[in-house]
Amino acid sequence: MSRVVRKVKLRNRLGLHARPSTLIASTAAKFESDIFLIKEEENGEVMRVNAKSLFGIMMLTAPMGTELTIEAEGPDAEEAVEALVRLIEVEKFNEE
Amino acid sequence: MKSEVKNILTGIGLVPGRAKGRVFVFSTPQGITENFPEVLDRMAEELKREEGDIFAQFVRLIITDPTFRERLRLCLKLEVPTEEAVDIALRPLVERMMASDPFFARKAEEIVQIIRDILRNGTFDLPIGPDTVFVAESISVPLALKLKAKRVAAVVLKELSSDSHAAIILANAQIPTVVGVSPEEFKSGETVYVDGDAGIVSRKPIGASDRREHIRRGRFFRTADGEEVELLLNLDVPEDVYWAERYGTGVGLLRTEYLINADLNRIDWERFARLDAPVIVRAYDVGGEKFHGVRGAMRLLKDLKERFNALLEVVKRYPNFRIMIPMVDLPETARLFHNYVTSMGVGEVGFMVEVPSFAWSLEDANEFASFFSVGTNDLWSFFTGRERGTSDIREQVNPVFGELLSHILRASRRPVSICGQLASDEEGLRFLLSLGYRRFSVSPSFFVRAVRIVEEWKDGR
Repeated sequence: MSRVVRKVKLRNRLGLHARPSTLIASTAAKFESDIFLIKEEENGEVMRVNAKSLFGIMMLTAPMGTELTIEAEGPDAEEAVEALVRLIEVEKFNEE
Repeated sequence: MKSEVKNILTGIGLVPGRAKGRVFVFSTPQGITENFPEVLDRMAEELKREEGDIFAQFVRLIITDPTFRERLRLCLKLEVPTEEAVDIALRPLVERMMASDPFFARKAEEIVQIIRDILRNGTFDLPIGPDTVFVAESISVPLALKLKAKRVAAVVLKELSSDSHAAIILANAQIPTVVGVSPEEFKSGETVYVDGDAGIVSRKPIGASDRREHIRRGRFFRTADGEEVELLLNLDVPEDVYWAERYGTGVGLLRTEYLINADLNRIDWERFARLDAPVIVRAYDVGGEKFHGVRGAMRLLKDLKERFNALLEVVKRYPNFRIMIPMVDLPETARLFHNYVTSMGVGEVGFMVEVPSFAWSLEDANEFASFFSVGTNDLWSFFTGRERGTSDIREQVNPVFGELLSHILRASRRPVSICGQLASDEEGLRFLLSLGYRRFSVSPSFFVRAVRIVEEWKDGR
């Protein structure tokens, strides 16, 4: 069991709208670990949602430029975080 | 029911292509499906097969969402009626998204719509197939996915916005689609011909002359008095160039806010260059509620300078491209931009008229401008002090605002167009025509209606 935490920044045009949220949830669902996305609101409040839940991700209502923390805990935590970072920061959801 | 059966019905082409088939008239059932959670599971199973379709996966993830399903399960266990249980289960997400920006608010409505649709229709077990011309009032995402899976021949709807997800699904599946024709015109089982290019549905084969008469393409149209009117399109993202190609016109406003972090070289500008009509690129309008930070034109010459220069490089490359500066406040600002753009090798620059002080002092900005374009929404909101998006667009059809708009037309010695939302509203467009405006840039979904309004227009009514 391991716990992995990484920060990412959303660089795609529209932020976490329907398509990117779908890609995150379906990517996260491939892993056994519990995975969370964490966003700090402007008022300092912290939103922590299940990355396998589309509703959870859309609850973040995160526009472009938002910083998110990915947190995973479980047998494949390292791979899960790796896959999500690649999707969000490297492939930028293949939008551009 | 119509007493007289018309052979040719005129609508608006939404997805090009031609097809023939037997009509199936769809109407939404009144009751709700029993055993809703089970229906959701069956639907999810069906959607799982469409692995490559992002919309199918979106719907699947919504209906299988662990949070939603757990809340739904609890409500149903407490014997809350299904419809109410669905509302309660969705509430936290919807409230949060509604309170966010308009983009997310629209998405929230769509999610609610998807779930309600499945609640009414189950998994859409309908007698349709490759021979079917599907006729309905409108359709939602799950139904569009079903039409795609069943490969229906064509679709005829009373209403569907061209930028909805359902419309995108039909377009990707290349199912010829016509909107603007009422289901009451049809009987299930009759054979019809659908032409998604011309936007017509016919009970007889469609000939070349029928098509010519109905395809409304072009940039210039004439009012009933014979006055020329220019109609261009407002596009949100470069991919929307498709609409300009379809209607054979140019782009009066290409928004670039979504491109601010994009690699401009990876956009297919050649398609815009081939339009044979102007393409007006509006420089990043950021700040205020449209992204954080200060709003105003001067940011383009400060923190956004590098991005602005990149945009100018693109504009310079194609002779039909023009740059337009948003949020200009005074003639002095117009002068600064004129000088800067010239020094960068771009010959012409246009300005948005959306700040009242600029509208007021427009006469002195003529010498720096090649054209003006009025952003009616912002102009109205700055003029009246009403927040953007809080009032009905038809409130802008107002003599006081009309006086300001007339002033702009009188003060300008350059072509002035309207790219604001007011021109994409039937009453709004007639109001602007009555003030003397003859150049407009409208939403793609409004283009065909705009052509009709212009061609029926007579001054003095």
